[in-house]
Amino acid sequence: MNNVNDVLNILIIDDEEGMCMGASRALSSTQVFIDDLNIIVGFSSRAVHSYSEYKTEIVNHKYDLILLDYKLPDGSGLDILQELNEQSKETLVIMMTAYATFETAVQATKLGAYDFLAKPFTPEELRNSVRKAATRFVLAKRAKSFEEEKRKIRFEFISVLSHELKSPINAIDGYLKLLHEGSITPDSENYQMAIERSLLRLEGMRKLIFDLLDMTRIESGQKTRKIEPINLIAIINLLIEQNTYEAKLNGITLNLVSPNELSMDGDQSELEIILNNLINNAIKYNRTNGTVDITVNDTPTQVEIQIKDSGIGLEPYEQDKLFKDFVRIKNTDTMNIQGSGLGLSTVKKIAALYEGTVSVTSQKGIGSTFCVTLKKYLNNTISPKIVT
Amino acid sequence: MAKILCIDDDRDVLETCKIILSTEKHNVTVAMNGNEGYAKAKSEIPDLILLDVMMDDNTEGFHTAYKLRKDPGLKFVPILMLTSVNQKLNMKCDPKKDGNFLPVDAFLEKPVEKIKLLKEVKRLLALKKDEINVDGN
Repeated sequence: MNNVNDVLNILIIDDEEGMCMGASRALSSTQVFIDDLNIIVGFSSRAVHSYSEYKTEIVNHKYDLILLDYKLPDGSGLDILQELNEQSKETLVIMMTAYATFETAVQATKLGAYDFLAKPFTPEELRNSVRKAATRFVLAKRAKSFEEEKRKIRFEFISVLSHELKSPINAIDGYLKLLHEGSITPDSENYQMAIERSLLRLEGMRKLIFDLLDMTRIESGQKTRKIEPINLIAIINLLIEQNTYEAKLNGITLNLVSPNELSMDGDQSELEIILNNLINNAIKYNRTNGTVDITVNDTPTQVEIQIKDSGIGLEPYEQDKLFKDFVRIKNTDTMNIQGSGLGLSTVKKIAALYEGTVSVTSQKGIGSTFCVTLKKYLNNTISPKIVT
Repeated sequence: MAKILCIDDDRDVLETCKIILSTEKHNVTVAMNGNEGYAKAKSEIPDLILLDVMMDDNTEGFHTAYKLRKDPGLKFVPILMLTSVNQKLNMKCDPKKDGNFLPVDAFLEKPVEKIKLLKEVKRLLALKKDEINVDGN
């Protein structure tokens, strides 16, 4: 006998003691392998002999499967079936009867019986029926808990999102009220700050909405991916150019060490999202007059891009949670830096589309190095040549 | 004039509180997470602490409140909890109506309003040692 992953509780309801013992014995040595989940299920059974015993038994115990006799000394199995049906229990019922007529079968099925065994039956027939019921029960239970898990994740995401959207509204609301009631006057030093901060929070909110759309499109698979041969270095050069203005404001130098060109299969906008997030972060979280070193290593199957900054760096516990949705590291070093908390989680999700990874090594106060690996050719496509 | 420490991960909430509190000439220091806040509270021993609930994680403010109350040097510093989640979480925020469950002395709903904040600050600064909700029960 193998080790079981799950044990189902079976209640046998039959007034014939021999029947109960026989069924118990047959089930005690039965195991079911559930193919789809790769798990083995065993059984633990108990027997009761009448309707009233059943009523007492179910007060304190929960059963997954019931083997139910049609005729009980103080009632009918159909009554029990009816009750279970009304309570919409997940319990599956296998009816057993010696009075197997077509009508009883129809009646029992209507009341929700899962299967029907005509007495006398062999232990093998019993096992087969229980196997079928157990598989169905376990799969239904898994599907339900999977649904619940999905609902829970969705709820958590939405509640964090609503907090992230409410914060800028509260911030702007706060400044506007102070301006409105004259607590901040045009001649005070806070006047310009209040307006600039409000505009910045609006921009942050807009960025959050865009990032959110990017992420949703990637997650829902609705964004049409246009995979084509791409020169990765051309993309990096373009992004360096786009980020140069912001870098110069803080005297930050951007350096690139790479081959002259690097061909891979990819979707231009996805690769832009990955690289832009990382390059832009390296600038945002840098120090004045710092550097950003971008290094591209090419191998026959994959490309590795390293983006190293000389910025504020991360504590080890901060590194662990960095790639989750809505995570922003907040301290006095980062208080002036805008971000949605979705950039790196989106980078990670896109990298996964290229069977790749993203990781970080960092030292507080010294700087961080982000490393992305991407597979160059997916689905064994043959290396294409770049036409320039 | 009092020393007030504001702990919130939102820079603009801090700025707003600073502007409001400076109208009453209070001396304001700020911190952006629970650990930073606790360290500053230890070094400056403020007269009052304003504390946000949801910072790095959803309950960081609660944990910080417990930590402050366990510190002999800080346990009698009144805490005003700022929250934007009490409606969503159906939190019990009115010590008079709901009874205490957190070791804080008052709750204030965000966005922070000047009149309400100044009124609460004044009330809390006047609390005597034995009126501070040290245990939350």
